[in-house]
Amino acid sequence: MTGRERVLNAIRCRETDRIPWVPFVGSHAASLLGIGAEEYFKSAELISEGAQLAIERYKPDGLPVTFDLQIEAEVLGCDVKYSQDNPPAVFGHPLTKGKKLEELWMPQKDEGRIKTVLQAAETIRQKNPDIALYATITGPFTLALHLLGTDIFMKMFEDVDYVKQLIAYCSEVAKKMSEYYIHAGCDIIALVDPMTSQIGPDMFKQFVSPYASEIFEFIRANGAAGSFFVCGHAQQNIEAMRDCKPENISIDENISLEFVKQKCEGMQVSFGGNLQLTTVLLLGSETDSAKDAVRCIDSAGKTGFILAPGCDLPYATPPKNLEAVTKVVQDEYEQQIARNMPDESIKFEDISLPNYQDTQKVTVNVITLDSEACAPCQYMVDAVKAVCGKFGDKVEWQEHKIKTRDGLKVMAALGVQNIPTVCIDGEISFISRIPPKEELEEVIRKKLQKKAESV
Amino acid sequence: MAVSVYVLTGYLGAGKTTALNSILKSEQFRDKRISLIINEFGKIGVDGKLLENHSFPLYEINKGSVFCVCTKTDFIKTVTQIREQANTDILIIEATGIAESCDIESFMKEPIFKQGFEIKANVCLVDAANFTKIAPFLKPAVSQVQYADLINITKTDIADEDEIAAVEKLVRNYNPQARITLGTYGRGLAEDIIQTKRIERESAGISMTPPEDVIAVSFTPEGNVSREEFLSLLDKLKNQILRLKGYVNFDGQLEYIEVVCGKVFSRKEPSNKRPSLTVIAWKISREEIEQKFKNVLKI
Repeated sequence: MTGRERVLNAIRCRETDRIPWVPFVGSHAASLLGIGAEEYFKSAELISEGAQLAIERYKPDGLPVTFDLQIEAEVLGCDVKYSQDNPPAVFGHPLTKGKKLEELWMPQKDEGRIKTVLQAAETIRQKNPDIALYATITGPFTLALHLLGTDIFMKMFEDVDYVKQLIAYCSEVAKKMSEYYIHAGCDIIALVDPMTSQIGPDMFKQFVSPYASEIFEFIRANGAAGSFFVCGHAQQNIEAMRDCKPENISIDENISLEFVKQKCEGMQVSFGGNLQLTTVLLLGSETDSAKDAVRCIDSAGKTGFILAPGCDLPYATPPKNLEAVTKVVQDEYEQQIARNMPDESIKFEDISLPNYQDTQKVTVNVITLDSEACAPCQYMVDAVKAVCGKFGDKVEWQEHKIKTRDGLKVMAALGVQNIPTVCIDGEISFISRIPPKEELEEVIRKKLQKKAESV
Repeated sequence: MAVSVYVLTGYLGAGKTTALNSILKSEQFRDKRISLIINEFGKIGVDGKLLENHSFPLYEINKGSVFCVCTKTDFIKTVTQIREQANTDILIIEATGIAESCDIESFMKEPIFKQGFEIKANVCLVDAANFTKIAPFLKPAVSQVQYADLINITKTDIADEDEIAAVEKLVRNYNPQARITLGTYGRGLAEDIIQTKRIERESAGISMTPPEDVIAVSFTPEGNVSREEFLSLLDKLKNQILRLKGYVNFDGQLEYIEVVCGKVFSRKEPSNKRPSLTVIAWKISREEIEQKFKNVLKI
């Protein structure tokens, strides 16, 4: 199954061979290229080169062309400020500066950075036919907010008709953008409407639902799938979002996957998310990232779920953390290991290791998931057992299963990060690699010899 | 010693920047080593300009994608910077009008900050003239009130007594524990802030009994409406209606009608506006208010 097939099946709640993985690479691609975000967001070549690097490194099943919610707003006259390590930000709103709604136009595909991203989409599509290509478009409520600013909240009371006209216009823009992206080869249109987290379900149904439903119908009629992206404390609107009939709902870490699963299951709506962006992917370790991926996988189940970060990846996300997620999603064995890895914030106060130099014997510790249940662990233990046996009582060996608290303690005390690992006299000697018998014998023999000489 | 943190919230236009300037100039704060974090959506630089006469380190957080979780990245980066520079006694965070207070509190509870920072007070500004209009539409405006230790009702100079009383009642409904003060332009606020004690809350942060929700309902009445019946309904619902605004065809004549704190204002409207009406109410279910209005509006 190709990544594209995997994502397209999952998004339509059909069976897949494994959960698909879609890292939302936007400004992060600029950091992969070693350039600033402004340069990246303004160049079709750099956007496609960045995507290519992300594809090579993270082996995703799907990828967005980029992640930028300012494209439509900028074309329509919003003031935009660029940054070196963030997406651009909208700060000036044309409808509060004398522009009239009737004066706004339908953005054309050769206008501003629409041209840039469509060119990038075509290149990425051409080079990667087996990857599901996402396009992010600005949701009607968020675009309305970009155009009118936060005056919109007061106008929702003072001039309902005007707000509805504005949102209706913004949804026409969303349809047009969807059309452009679908023609450029995108498979999935992500309608990103983060500002809807600010309103309750009644307002959502009044000001968002009718328009969003039409957009998803339009996307479907044009042969693509629609995903409704939200962020923040949007739990109250999940049912209303689902009822707009997107193929998929994507959420960040503020909403639990179990909750979304419960709301979507049986309704032919798939869901995605919600890897933790800051504390885990940006600031955490590879282990934290792998464990968080497993948390998502275990919460969401195997059908109708797409593993993804909560929203666009921070610029400086360490690539090794994303690679750790790739490893976990592609390999069930890695998932088992991650499930059992100790949480790095857990401190074992009562850890004490023997002083290996006090004895003439050599101690071999094998840290495993469980040699009875996991093949690589079994081969590792077999190899150690066979070699140690040759030295009689001069060498002691022991397996430490990280499924047990004691096993975790030894693992933490020895500073082991990968499973299986062999430590000899407290030193990490073979990581995730079954040593050839001769090599293992040689290391043990040298240790014994050194000890004998020091007597 | 831990840096004292003061969080300043309040929905858009409540007067946070004015209040902040007043706080910074106050006797209680002016000689302290202060850092400021400004997080105003869509207002890059504006607050910075107002504050440029002060010598405080100023950090602006403004994430283009407006995703709350992404703002957290910048927020953590900024607070880390402040801690590393170790030249701050007081950190004031002016949250964006659309920020969820619980997010800011949870950011500060991250293990990396727990030791170095202590939230002393969460202060929420509420605009006397507009809060009832905003409450049903802007969810964070309500949760900011719910999480506050001190609530300062602002712009009391432009709201009348009834209006202020209605807002006070509404705010008390959302937050029974916080101290409520009235004020204009942030005068005397610094003293109130210093005297404010943190409210110990349940883990969810909100009181156990859920407050009455404020709801907004809109109608588009097509036909003729009896003025008498309509006014009689408004009278019956006077304790539930916080605001009402719109255009109704009364006995063949289009009228603009508005209710503010139980007082009805109306005028004949010669324009060709479409009849439409929005009602903001509380202590009543959506179904009930819809039914009552539909009966009178003949919908």
